[in-house]
Amino acid sequence: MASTSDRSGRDRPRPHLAAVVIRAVAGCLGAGMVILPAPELHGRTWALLPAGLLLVAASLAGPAARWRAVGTLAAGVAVAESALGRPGLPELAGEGLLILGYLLLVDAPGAMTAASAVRWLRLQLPAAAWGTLVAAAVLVVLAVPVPVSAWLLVAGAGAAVAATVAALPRRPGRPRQPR
Amino acid sequence: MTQGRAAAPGPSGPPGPPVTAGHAVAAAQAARAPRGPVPAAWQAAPRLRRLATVAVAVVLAAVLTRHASLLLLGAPALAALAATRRGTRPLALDADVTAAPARCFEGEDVEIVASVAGGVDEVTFRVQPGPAVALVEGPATQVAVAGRPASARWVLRPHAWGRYQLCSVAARCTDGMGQATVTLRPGPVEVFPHAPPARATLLPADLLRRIGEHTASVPGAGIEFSGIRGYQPGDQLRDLNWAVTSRLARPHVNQRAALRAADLVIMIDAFSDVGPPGDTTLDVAVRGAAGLATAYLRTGDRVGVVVLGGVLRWLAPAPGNRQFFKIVEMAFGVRFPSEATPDLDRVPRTALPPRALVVLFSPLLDRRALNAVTDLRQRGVSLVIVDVLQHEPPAEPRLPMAQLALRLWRLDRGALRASLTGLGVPVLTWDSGTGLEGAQVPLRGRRVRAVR
Repeated sequence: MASTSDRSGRDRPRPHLAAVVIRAVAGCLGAGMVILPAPELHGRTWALLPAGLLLVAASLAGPAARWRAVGTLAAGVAVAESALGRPGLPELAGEGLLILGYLLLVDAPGAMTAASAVRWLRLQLPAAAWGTLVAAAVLVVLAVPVPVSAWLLVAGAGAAVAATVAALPRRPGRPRQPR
Repeated sequence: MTQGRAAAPGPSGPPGPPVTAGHAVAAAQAARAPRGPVPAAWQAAPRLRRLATVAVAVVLAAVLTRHASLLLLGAPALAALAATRRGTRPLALDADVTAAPARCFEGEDVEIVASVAGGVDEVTFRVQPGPAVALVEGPATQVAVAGRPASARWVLRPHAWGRYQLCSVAARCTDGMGQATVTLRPGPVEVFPHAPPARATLLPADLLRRIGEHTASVPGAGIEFSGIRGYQPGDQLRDLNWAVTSRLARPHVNQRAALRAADLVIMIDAFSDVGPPGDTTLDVAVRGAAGLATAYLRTGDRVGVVVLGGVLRWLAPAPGNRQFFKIVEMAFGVRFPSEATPDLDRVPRTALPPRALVVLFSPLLDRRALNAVTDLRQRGVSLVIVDVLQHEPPAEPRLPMAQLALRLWRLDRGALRASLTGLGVPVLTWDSGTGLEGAQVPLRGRRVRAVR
């Protein structure tokens, strides 16, 4: 167990191995999200690559790790790279998943034991699973060419209205009067 | 756990508390803050802000570049936001923090346990020890994840006496995309001063008539040899000094000194309190008072206390171990802020019984304390001063006159001590890092006489 031994107890606690592993995985995901769209960059936009890597490193270790905006900025740099480089759809889908994984892991507390880290990772599974499913669905929608059809538009609008009506909360009914 | 350690000090420590069931239960109890739900103000968690920021940035990029496929970047983030567990979060959290034991001595360990009940995903506890409190076990930041009771444990070691809260614990609760931070404070812990080793060697010239353990100057039925005199009817045969009797051809007997008790009144100068936290002049004074009280109570003497500063308070001299805890509990209140100026002419007779030895622990910084010294000498009280000032005023090295000012201050202190010695008041210097025995050396074998 990490312990503090000074008089005030304010020194930095020694990180656990599980927390270090999570940080390392987050670093890999962050580096991946910055490097993946890099081949499509050109000219001065190449400057985004070292900036993004620096931000990823700063968000995981060092005094700047306390500022949560650093991680958000690193993800923003990755989005800017993708917007400027215009990679293909599979690369964009992978980039979105890398951004999600990095954002989920960069928030991991640093003082977790191995058992706590496993439970914490289990808590992140639904978000990761839903993100993967939606990314796959959007990828399919964008990849499959659909001919424009008025009937298709009407069907889609009807389905949206039906889903909204089904999702609206219902007012509880009045209790039946006793006879 | 150190429960009960306050109730069983070592042989060289202060006397143990009276052995009563109520006292033992009180010593073992944990200091607990008033328990009840703690109001929680939920707000967006940092993760929610991050995911939302990235999603908005992606949508903006898609619109500005007219590139709809960029929406693929933000789709996972939006899905993660949508998949977050919803529901009403409790407006108050059932959080608790305890400190055990509720009474201890300086340098002993106190266990702090914080817990948050209820279903939250993650709780990050962070302890903030107070001044002069050291964290000796457990990382300052501990995380509890859902699935186990959310609790954290630390061991703190207070280095200053008093009745105070040792720490505060910040519990940051994360539930889904909401976050709330509550601050928990345990109940106050009574930290008794660590009594330095001392001996009951400071004695007034005139002891009481009560039988005690101090050798008086008058003959009596003690064990200390005090002289030889001629045999008188009624003397015991075993007291005959055969050597003198055979030399002088007349019977002579050994005389022994009487054993008498003493009354000690400890005065604490609370007018001034300077120094670093945990080692201020008042801290040192109370520790010295505890050491002296322990030594004299152990020999069966009566000990009282008078606190100068704020509202004048005193405790009439009394014997017994219970008196030690009364003295210490009175000392807990010496830092009570008050603008009242005590009338030192009205120190009650019960607080200063005749033929009592008065020991004043003072940094000799406040004029009112010096006036009290003068007043006590005029009333014919046997008085000893223990100087508890250990730190000189800081001299700013950049100022050219700083060293000169410091030299003047030292000269002024020397003149003050010389004037007190001239009044017939011994001034002892005590370094709190050592026992009081060393400070008592200059008066070893001497009796403190009252000079009017």
